[in-house]
Amino acid sequence: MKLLLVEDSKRLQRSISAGLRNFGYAVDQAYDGKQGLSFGETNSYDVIILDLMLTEIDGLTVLARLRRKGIKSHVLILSAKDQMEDRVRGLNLGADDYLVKPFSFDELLARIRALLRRQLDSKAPVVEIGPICIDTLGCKVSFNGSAVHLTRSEFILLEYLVGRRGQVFSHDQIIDQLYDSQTYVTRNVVEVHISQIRKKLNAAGAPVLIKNKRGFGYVVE
Amino acid sequence: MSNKIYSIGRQLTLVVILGVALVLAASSVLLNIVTGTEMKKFFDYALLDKARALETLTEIDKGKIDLEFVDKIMPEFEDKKDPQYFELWVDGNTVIERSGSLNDHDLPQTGLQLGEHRFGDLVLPDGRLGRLVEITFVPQVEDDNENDQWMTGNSRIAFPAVTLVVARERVSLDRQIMTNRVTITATMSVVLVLIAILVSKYVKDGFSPVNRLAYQVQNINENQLGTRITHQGPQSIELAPIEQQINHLLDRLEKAFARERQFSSDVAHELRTPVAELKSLAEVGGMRPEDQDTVLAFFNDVKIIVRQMEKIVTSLLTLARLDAERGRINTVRFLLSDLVDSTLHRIPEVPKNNKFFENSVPRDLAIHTDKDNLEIILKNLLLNAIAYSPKGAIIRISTERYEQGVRLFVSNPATDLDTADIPHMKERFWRKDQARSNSQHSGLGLSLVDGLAAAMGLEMKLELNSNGEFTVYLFTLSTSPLN
Repeated sequence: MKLLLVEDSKRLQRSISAGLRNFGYAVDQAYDGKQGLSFGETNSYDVIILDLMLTEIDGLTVLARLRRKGIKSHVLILSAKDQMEDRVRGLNLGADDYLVKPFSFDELLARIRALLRRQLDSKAPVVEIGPICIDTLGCKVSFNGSAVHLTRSEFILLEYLVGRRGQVFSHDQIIDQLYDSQTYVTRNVVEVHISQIRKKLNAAGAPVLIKNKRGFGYVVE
Repeated sequence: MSNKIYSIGRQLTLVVILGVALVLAASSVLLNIVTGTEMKKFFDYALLDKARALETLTEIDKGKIDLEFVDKIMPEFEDKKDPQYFELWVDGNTVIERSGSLNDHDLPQTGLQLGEHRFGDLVLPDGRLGRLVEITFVPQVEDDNENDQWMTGNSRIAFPAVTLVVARERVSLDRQIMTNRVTITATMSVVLVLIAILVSKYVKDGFSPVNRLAYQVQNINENQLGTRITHQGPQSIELAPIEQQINHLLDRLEKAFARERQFSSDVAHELRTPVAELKSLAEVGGMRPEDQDTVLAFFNDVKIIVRQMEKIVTSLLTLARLDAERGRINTVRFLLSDLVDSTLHRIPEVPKNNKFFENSVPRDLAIHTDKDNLEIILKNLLLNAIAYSPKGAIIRISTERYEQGVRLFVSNPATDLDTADIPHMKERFWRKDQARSNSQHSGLGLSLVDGLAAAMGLEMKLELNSNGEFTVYLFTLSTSPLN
């Protein structure tokens, strides 16, 4: 999952990005409104975390411009402004959620996850495909109750495909959605992760979950 | 002080009605007395006229005093019903004539001097209360020759003075007086009731602007400070200053509340961001304790954040102390130039990069003021000058003499400022950058300088000239010659 963090506090940028990356999210960072708008318009993000008091262009203007351009990314406003009018204004301009500073990182993570679930087929945090169970909260995979140990990158890739069952994703689409703009990732990395997921599930006795549509990409049916 | 609440309108109505009632009562009594007296006088003079009529009928005829044709001319003296009475005496006690109504009764007489008359009350022979008039006169002589018998030369030799008492009942008079009294009292009562109604109405109407004002004032609360007192129709001279003053106070109160709200919001915002940073650093750092580099970088961030928060809290405490007028001033004599040098020296080198300082304070200028506070002022002014001046800027610290004394100033080029910013620069948490992205500055520096300067008896003036040079003046410094 790819997130954009638009926040002028460098220290907050550092800690939030580190925390989110720790949970496997790809995070792009923007330090002012202009940069945030540019990133939001040119890349596709699942969630944009947006501060309101920004230099160059303020957060609400960034939000309004993104919505005007038809950008459908979920927007979570992160602001020190706690007045009801500020929240109402932000939500009315097209934000999906509003979190007041200071916040708990766990709460931020939970809200991001809730926003991400909105675009998935299943709203439940635990997805079951036959005997295979994927717990998106606990980042665990099991087959018939036995744990299948995946790395963070493998789990994120599986979670992404499981959340969009029936949709075929090319290598480039996967790279674009799961890795931040600063990280250089080749097609091989995706292939290696897919292969590892298949191998681990197969070792546990599970049927093939991720199928290869030759010439198109990967899909979970 | 009594907490009893009373109505001015009601009290005024009561006082006016009471006053009017007193005036009406006094008028009524006076009117009753005057009209009663006048009626009595009228009654008495009617009686006297009758007595005078009897006097003209009394004649001396052939040496005999006689009263003629009374029964014909004045039958009331003979009436059986509601009779009147008279009695005529000669020489005080010899009854010459009496009215038939008297039968054998006598009327009282006192014996007056000739030409005198007297009125009095009596009980009539028929038992009714009556009124009498007593006169003494000399009857007229019917024959001129006979008149001569009573004369010697030019004066009378014999004096046949007669006393006449005429009396009649006074019940009709008393009834009339009573009727008059009742009429006056009733009229006055009706007038009093009408006046009470009118006074109540007019006082109520007259107080309606006051009541409206009270109602409007009563409905003002801290959530409706934008409300202003309004009036309908023309404004009264008495209420106009009250309305104006209340509206003026509301203006100030609204601004003060807005300032306080803004201040609280600014404090919250200034502290929220670093608290959010600390919380995030602590939580995320705790997730990856094995990542030494990240944790170390986070600790470094925590130190910086804490230092900034400490600075904000110290500034806020100093401001609170200054607001409460508890700022202690310790005046000493020192060389200003030395203080400028030492303050500059204490500012870390990093922020001073690419900035030039020009200290042209005279080396021998000694001043009398609070040295510690002036150092805080100077440090804040210099840090501001460093932070908000462009690369390569010259920051000047100097003094100048003017008509009232000596003033200190710090000036620097400030390309981002414009004149509209100047009035806001002393406001707490004001920053040119609305996003408040520069966490090094909280916007408390100049308000702190202003507060400290005021506590030290100095005035602070901000100026931006047409060349974009921003100057902070502090005046008037108390100078002290070197020994």
